[in-house]
Amino acid sequence: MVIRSVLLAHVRNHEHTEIVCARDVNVLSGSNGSGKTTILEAISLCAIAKSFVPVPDQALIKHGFEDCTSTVEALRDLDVPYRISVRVRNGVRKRITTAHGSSLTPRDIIGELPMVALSPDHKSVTFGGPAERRAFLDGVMAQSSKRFTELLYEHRRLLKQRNAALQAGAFMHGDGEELDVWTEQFVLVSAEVVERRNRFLADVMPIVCSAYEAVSGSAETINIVYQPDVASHGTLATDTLLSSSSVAEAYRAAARMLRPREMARESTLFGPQKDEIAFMINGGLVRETASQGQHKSLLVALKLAECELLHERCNERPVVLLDDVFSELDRDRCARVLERVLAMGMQCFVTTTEGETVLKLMKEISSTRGGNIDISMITLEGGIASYVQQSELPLHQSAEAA
Amino acid sequence: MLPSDSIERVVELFASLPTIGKKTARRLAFHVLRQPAENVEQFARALVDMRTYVRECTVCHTFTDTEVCGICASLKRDPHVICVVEQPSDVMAIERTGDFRGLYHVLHGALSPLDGIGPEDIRMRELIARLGVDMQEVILALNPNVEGEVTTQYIAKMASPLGVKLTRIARGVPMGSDLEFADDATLARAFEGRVPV
Repeated sequence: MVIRSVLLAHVRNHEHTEIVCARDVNVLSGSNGSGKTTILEAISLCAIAKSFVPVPDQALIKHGFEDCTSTVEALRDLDVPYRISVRVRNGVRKRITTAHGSSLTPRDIIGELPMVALSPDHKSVTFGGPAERRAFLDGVMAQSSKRFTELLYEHRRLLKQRNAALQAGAFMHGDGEELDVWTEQFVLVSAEVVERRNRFLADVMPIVCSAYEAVSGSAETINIVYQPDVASHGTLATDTLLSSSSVAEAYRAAARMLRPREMARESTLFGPQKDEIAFMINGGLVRETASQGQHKSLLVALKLAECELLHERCNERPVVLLDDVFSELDRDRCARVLERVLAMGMQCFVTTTEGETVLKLMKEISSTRGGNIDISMITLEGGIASYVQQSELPLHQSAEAA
Repeated sequence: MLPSDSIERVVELFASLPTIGKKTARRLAFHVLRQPAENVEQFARALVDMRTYVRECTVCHTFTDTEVCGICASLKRDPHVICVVEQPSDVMAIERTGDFRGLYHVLHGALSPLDGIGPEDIRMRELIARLGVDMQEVILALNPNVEGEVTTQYIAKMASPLGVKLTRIARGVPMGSDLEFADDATLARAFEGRVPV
């Protein structure tokens, strides 16, 4: 996917901004608070129906206005145009419009415009708790499979319903049949989530390892260990594979065992919402043993692996958003990231406070690759964009060159 | 702000209807104002009559004017087959196909603890009471979402001791469309529900 233009109306400090994008690299430069990241957020809104950083949707609306709209015009890898517009309003459901309809839900569009974002906020994936890692994994999987997106929605809904049933004392009526039925459905959906997560992580492992080697330039061993909650209740036979039927069986046993405690706590005490995905480096837990540099390399490696995977699964090159990574990563790592993203032929958007430095770096990379990289630099100030270097090639020509 | 309080009140009332916003409500109100008085009276009376006379059929619980609805009273329909649906509007949808010759049972909702809806809050007991020995088949046609699925399973659980044949409608690819355009969630479901040829 290549984004041709982004249109922001009343998004944060942008009154009305239209950006025409270059085929390969778009450098967004400006001082703090000038509205660089907002452009990335607008793209994110059109890709995953929310910002890539955890903020409420309403925060995107410019102060003093009732709604904001982000519109992206893009070209799929097969040269089919794709247009999407997302409008956020206070207190009303988001209005998502594409050629397929004008009142779509987020799950209709997630994965259509594959996107990989890297921002300083994502440090929590390796530093933070299990919830951050689950959110990361689920995000990647949702973009690469509509069925998994559906499963996640079902799982979340069933969890809420089952908790409500426990709170309402559904086990009091009759012989607790109602709670049994909610439990069984929850078990079936949960087991499928576990099986899919397990399979996905096995697929992703070699890609993360090779990406880590490329980013860090060292031969440390990386391992991702899936620790599903189902294994912690002692009901899962240790030598079985994590197939949905064996997991479901283990969950059923766990549910019977936990029933009295669940009734007392009025809440569900098992399920994939308690899974942990442990990152290991040289045999030690990343969260406990890794150095700052290793954390950064791993995060970048994960994101590069995400790029590769989405490309493979969606049959579409993802758009890469790099938010202020140059202040976080050293020059070498940055160069490696950009080189790899460009080698995969993906369009990227880079925000930075030092536009000239990044532009120089880009030109260096460009010259090593035969100079056929299309770069555009946009300076922002107070939500107003101006071009320093315009895209050199008209889009259709550069697409052919790629 | 409108210059008349009575117009304002009508606009408020129209806007309280589903899918009607303030703007449409205002348009409707002005349209009503331009109508002859007797038309408006007819309209108002029809609304009041509907609310007064429409009730639930004592057999299938769909909406009807009479004690027993036309479908339940018909002698041409097969009383040994029941199709269970969530809403009276679902009955209309299935009737439009003209293919179903049995009777209906309307639950008026699905299980949803989040909304405080348990088995006692929908017509569940009435359904079980209808499943006598001469019942040949119960077709479950509930909405394909989490709540519909759980309600289906709950009915299956309650009805299984009665030895009635239970079936559910298929889920899958819509007619008249190409496979390549079906979304993957639907397609995955269609694969799960494949049948031998």
